[in-house]
Amino acid sequence: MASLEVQFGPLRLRNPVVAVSGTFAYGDEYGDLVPLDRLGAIVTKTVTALPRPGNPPPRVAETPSGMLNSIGLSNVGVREFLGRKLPALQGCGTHVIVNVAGRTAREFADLAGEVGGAEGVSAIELNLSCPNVSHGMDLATDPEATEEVVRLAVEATRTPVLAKLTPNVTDIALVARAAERGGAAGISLINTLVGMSVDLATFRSRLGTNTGGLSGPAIRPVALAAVWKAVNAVRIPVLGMGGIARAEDAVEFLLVGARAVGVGTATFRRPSAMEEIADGIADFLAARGLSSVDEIIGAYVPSAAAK
Amino acid sequence: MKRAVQETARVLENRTIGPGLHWLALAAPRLAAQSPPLPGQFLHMLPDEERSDPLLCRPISVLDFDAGDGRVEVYLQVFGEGSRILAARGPGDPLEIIGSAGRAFRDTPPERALYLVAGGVGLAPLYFLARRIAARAQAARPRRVELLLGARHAGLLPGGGLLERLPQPPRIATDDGSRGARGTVVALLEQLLEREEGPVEVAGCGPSPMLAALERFLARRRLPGQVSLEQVMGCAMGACQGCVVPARLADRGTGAGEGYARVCTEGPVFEAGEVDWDALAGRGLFRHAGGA
Repeated sequence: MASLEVQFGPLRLRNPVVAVSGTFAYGDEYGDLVPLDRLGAIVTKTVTALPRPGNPPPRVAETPSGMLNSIGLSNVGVREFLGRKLPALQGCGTHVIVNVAGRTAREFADLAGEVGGAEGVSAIELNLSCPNVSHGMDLATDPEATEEVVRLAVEATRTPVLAKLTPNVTDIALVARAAERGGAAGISLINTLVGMSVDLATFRSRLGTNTGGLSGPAIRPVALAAVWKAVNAVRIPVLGMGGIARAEDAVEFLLVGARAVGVGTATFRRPSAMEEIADGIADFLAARGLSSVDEIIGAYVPSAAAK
Repeated sequence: MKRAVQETARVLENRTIGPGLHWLALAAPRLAAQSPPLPGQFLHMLPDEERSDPLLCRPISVLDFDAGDGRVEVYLQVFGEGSRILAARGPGDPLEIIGSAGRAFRDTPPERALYLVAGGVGLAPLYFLARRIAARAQAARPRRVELLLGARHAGLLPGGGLLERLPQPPRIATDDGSRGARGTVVALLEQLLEREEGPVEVAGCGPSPMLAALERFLARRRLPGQVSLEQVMGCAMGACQGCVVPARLADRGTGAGEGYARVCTEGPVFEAGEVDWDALAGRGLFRHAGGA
């Protein structure tokens, strides 16, 4: 039987499959459908300093092989998270990675410090793809801002810090390296792509906002290319995500060098998706006589062409 | 009992009972054993497991459920690609479902006459409720239940023997008067309540403009009631926060943040007065958002 265990920086995961932020709340809602002890890790919904109700509806709109979301970082706030949500996750059977978002670099650091100090947190994931007051743009589009936020967060806690990157940049390698310089223990990518859809009956956006974030199989090739570029830019481990629905998709990401794979939208269609992906990776290895996931991580054979 | 299960159900029957109207029966033993549906709850149904387009599951109200058989029924109206694919399923076909989801209709005091107001395919949960109440009724204290069904015209009313399975014939309203009373189903309710002397409670399900009108009427007359909404959904399990409506919940908490409620979890059944219909109307939500 092939071993699915992977080392992700300082974390040892039972398998490379991770439930991504925003799709799994704080692990409770899917409790009866998805056994947490079959997952490598779960990443919580983004936690912010203050509770956020989120954006006006509609917040989801289906698109070809995908969906747009404009949830708006709806969350209970760090107080309630630490007081109620996190204690409920103690002993849940898998690594808990807490995703946080601040309005300023200082706020990111404060959240990292507060959450990092709490019991049962395996890592912090910095959600850098959210509009930012002091810079007026996504932090993760600016390498210098990324490096600063990561550095301050790393200084604030001993818990490993991961940086979640956006694909909405010209060169993801620049931001990946900035996160590494800042001291990130790993990076996760991609977050959603900016997208839009207009309703022909009302002439309005199909979302409550003008644009939203695109996820699902439609973005997988974009995500895969970004992961490949990031893997080749840094030495820290990469958690690759974006449209992964089946084991074959996950294997593509492992081949280009991701050490773990994130699954999000697929869970809405099929709660058993993550378990099936883990089983499918094991089957893939067994069929080739391979004994561990490490044998396929980074096994992609690059083309001789320039790109 | 589990909050929800995922199951590969099997289609037992698919009857076309009107233009684009389908009555499906499914075998779902896992659902029946571990998460049996209550009136008002829904199933999240995946159009096609093999295709990523359409991507999302469609939330479909449960029409009926037989615990003994493990048989669950739904009433589908073909509206978009997802519902078209679901409606094309034939006997023996697999159908991936997640359920039972959502907040069911709450019990109502038996001394109150219960008026169920259905618009179009909103009939489903009220049909389930009416049959369940009738099945549980005590002979000594029979419960008065009136079901009102509205449609634009007679041709859109469900055939196939569906309405004949109700405990008593429904009262019909059609916009053009081609069957039953001429006018809206809410107008019919108003007429009937004029003759009603005892205490009354209402439950409604149908298109948003109908529910908004129903709630305005209930507020004016200070009548208690429940409304069952629909909304485009992501996960339907309460995790993604994608299906919220503006609402202030009376006497209960929301898991959706200040001023919002999740139609999949705090709903789809809400108390009259909780949902902010003005806010929904202002957002162009008074239509099937995105198709089904």
